[in-house]
Amino acid sequence: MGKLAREVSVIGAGISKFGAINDKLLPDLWVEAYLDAVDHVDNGIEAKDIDGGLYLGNFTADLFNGQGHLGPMMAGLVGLTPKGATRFEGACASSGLAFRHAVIAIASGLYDVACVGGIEKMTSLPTAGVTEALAAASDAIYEARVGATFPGLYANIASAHFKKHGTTKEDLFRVAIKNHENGSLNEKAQMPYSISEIMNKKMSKIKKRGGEVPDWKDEFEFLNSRSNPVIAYPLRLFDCSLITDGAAVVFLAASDVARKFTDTPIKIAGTGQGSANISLHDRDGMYTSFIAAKTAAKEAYAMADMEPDDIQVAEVHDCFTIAELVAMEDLGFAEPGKAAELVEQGETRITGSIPINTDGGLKSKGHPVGATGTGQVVEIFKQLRGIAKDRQVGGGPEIGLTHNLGGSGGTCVVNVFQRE
Amino acid sequence: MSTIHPITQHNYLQYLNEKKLMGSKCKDCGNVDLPARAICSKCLSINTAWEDMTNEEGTLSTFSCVHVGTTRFVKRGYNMKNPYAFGVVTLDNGAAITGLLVGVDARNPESINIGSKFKVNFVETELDEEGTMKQVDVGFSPV
Repeated sequence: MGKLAREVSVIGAGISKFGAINDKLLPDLWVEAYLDAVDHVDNGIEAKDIDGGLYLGNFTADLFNGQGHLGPMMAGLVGLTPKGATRFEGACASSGLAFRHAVIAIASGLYDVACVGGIEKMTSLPTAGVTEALAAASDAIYEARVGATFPGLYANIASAHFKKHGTTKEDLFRVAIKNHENGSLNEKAQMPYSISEIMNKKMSKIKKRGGEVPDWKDEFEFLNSRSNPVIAYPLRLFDCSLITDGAAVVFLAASDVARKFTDTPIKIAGTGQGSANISLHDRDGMYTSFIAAKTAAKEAYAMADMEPDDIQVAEVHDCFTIAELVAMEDLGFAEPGKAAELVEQGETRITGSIPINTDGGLKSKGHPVGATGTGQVVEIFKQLRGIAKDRQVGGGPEIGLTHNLGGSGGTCVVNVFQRE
Repeated sequence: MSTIHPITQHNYLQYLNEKKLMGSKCKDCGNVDLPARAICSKCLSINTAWEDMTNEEGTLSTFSCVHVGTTRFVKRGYNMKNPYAFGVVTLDNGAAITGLLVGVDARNPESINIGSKFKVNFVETELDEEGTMKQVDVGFSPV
């Protein structure tokens, strides 16, 4: 009980450029990520090697692009048909689910190799349409109908966290500053700029226009200004992740065949999944923590026989800055209410004791919702393989974690990875 | 609705349109659920009955003031400078539900306090220009 019947490893992983990619449609992003993943399999991989077919995560191409039935559509573009091709949906955790279920399929002995993908193209709709489509991940009747937006729901979580733990807007600013600093080192990121770079650009733009240049002394003054408007109090623009087009692909193999593909497979040491009622009001008064995340983490740590202290690098689901603090607490990196202190002490920076979102996270790298879960695995693969370039965590980390949350906490997948 | 209706989300919304906030109470364990549930959320009994919570008061558990709203709210005139507030109110009987906050100053969120008392105050919206189609939503106002 509680163990995979056989070991499964990541043998390659790749990612498309994230951003508002105007010259690529959803299938183009998918092919870009697939080819990047093929390039990252040391000894090469061909469609004929992938007996398990495709496990694809996507939230809602139906609403964003008017396209359903994505599994076979994407499989056909890379030669995976006529093997099985299945789409998974769990809001922003869609490809986290696809990944986990591919792991389970290989562990069961049914297949030896599988392809996992995550794709989303969000920018084909105007912002209002995106907000509307995303709202479908909340409870349409009991939340969206009374005005709940996603920023609004996470703002409810932030308000409760502020009240219960004394968290401040500056605590949230520090998360955004750190993630943008990391993202500035990631060539695939949508906004690869530090907040001070963004601030300076804004000042020179105002100067060029002949306007009155604001005297922001640092990022905090900038983030506290009208240039960072409130979207849903207490969350401001720079507390929110981005609207993004992007795709990510991961190849998995049973550990006993993995070495055919690479000398350095990254083993899935543990995987866990949890759920919760999707309405915030339906969680027994729990507004500052996600039971789905705690459940998923407990299962993943137990399977890996590890504790939070063992994790050397983590990708957590920072769809909003407050979500990164809550994730750190749910994963046991900090006691409830204490995550902000770790951030302030710099412990979650690339040079800290528990580097978090080294690729810039959803905040700076971008958040193509259905691609996010697989995108996190791509970063942990790079960190554990030592190929994360300028943002490489020092000391050769061997153990990493991903935390992928759907909606306002209705679904969560947590995985623990280990370099073999 | 005068006759006895099964506990369904469909009927919950029918009641809501008549400005009745109807939860359910479990006859086995006494737990209350809102919206009403056919299966008790605590003991999973199906021995549940409608419970009228229209006149319950409660306290504000958490909230937000939304400046970038859903399309429906934007159409109603809400925008960056004119936000609306919504939040979770926990009724004195223990049930909790998300609702619009009316009679609060959403432009001044510091004036809205978690833990303060609220009572049910339905929000009625006309869905067409003639005003023949109406939708009632859950709202709360300060006591």
